[in-house]
Amino acid sequence: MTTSAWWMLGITWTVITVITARLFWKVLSSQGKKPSDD
Amino acid sequence: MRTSERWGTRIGLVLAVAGNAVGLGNFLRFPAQAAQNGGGAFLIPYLVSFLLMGLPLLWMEWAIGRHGGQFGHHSAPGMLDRMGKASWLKYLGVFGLFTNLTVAAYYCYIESWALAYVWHSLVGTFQTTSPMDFFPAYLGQHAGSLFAVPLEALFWFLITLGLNVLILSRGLAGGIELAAKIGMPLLIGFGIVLAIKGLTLAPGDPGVVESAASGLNFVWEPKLHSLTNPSTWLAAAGQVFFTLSVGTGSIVCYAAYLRRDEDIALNAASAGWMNEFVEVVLGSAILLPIATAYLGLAAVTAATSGGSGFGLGFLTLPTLFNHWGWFAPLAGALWFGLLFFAGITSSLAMGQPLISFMEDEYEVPRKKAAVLFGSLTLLLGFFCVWLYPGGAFDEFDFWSGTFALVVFALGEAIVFAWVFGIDRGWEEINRGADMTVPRVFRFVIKYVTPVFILVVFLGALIKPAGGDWGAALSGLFSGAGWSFAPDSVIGKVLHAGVEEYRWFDDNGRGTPELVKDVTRTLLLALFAACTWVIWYTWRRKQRRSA
Repeated sequence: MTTSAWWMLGITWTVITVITARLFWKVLSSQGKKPSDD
Repeated sequence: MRTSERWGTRIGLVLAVAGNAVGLGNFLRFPAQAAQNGGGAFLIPYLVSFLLMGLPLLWMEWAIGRHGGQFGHHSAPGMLDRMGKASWLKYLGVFGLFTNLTVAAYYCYIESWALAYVWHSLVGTFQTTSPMDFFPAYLGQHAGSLFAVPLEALFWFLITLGLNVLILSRGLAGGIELAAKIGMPLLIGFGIVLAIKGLTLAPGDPGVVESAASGLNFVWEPKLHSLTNPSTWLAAAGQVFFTLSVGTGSIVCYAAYLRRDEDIALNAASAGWMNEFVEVVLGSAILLPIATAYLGLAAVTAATSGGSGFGLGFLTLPTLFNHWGWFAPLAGALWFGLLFFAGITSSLAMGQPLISFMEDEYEVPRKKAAVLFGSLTLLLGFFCVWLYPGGAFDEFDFWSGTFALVVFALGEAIVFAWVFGIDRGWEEINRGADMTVPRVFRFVIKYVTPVFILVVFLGALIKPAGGDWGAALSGLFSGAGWSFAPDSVIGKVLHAGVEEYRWFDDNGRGTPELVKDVTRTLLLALFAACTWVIWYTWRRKQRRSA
């Protein structure tokens, strides 16, 4: 793979994985309460 | 009206919405689109489109849905009726019923192919039969015939529909949510196994002609000059639009089962980003790297030139797995199992809005509504199966699965920002929010997103022949006129690219143009019927309340 392809892949995969994991962690951390409990 | 049904858990809801978005296109269409439209550079307009169109649309649809749910409406016509005073608003919601019904008809058929391929992978069919020979026979295709009655394909179609009806009849928490909780982790797990296996293929392994990294490079090598081509931007915006399942009426339906103060901002963002993870990370790491390793880059470039990896996924990959020895049947089952889970979590989301409509407006019990949905899908699906060789399937995909989505999303965005009003809309998105939505999105939702969708709509409407916008524009200004692409909306209507437009050939046999026109007439009639149902339902309500 070329260096530019590595950079593009590395940055994109990292950004998307980190954002998805952070958002999902937030959802999971509120998992204790059911939506209908509000 | 029934309002008692709710989602069981928050994670279940997010997985159900993410499962709705994650479809076969994440694995078959995205990598081909990226590779053919600038490689790594494609991700720039793709992510810009996601932030300026996809994510705002998700927030809008969740807000429209939760707002409608407070009035006991869980399908698009009722909830759009509550967005303003105008009586026409409910008719915009017709799209939310029509699209789901007609897309489910052919989508469940594709889903059934994946299920059939799981079976055939496990029993070793593709070790002795080439998928190139298997697939046309499976579909009942015969040279020169417009019709097919493929018994095996119909058997798997019935099994798939039966599974959909069974899950839908079990309700939100016990059916759809449970399916998403099982299907999504399995899908991601299967994807990771295949990606690791595929990306570690190197010259020297049996049958490998090129490193799998060449395939990854094909998807990710940024060709920055492509960013000046409008086609790249339109392709990226289109991919974002269709991958998120916006404009279908299914997200609004799912969100309608939330309470007034429950979060929608974080839920919508999580589901949207999860789809991006599956598409961009897993979607780019399986199909093209494995195909490149065994076929070489030149063959893969040619196979994806149309912007779709469908042929590679269904016709080529099963043969390539044969190089994996004892793991081959399992690899086939993982790949098609992944596609099946991607499909069924989406088709369930197509059934729910119709079931909700029957439950809300006619108090039809859920089980009966699920069977009714299955029966209608079977009827329309049989039309697609029967006339598949004639092109009925493609017509359904274009008018219902592409055009209608963009029209509905454009209508939703305008109604949300300009009829319901951005002040109320912004308050709706942020009420109960577990995350802070950046204030810039208020401006984006009001002005940028509607314009973005309008551009996608116009792009689909007048796409030039060959897809070269630069050449088409200079041709227009030099007086050469505008030549519509056969796959543009106007090109379709005008039968562009058809050498001789006629319904019957010299022997009196029907032509594909006849099948296209019959299919379009059927779709128009269905849309008219859905519109009439909405008119009748509201008249009935008025009479009852009088």
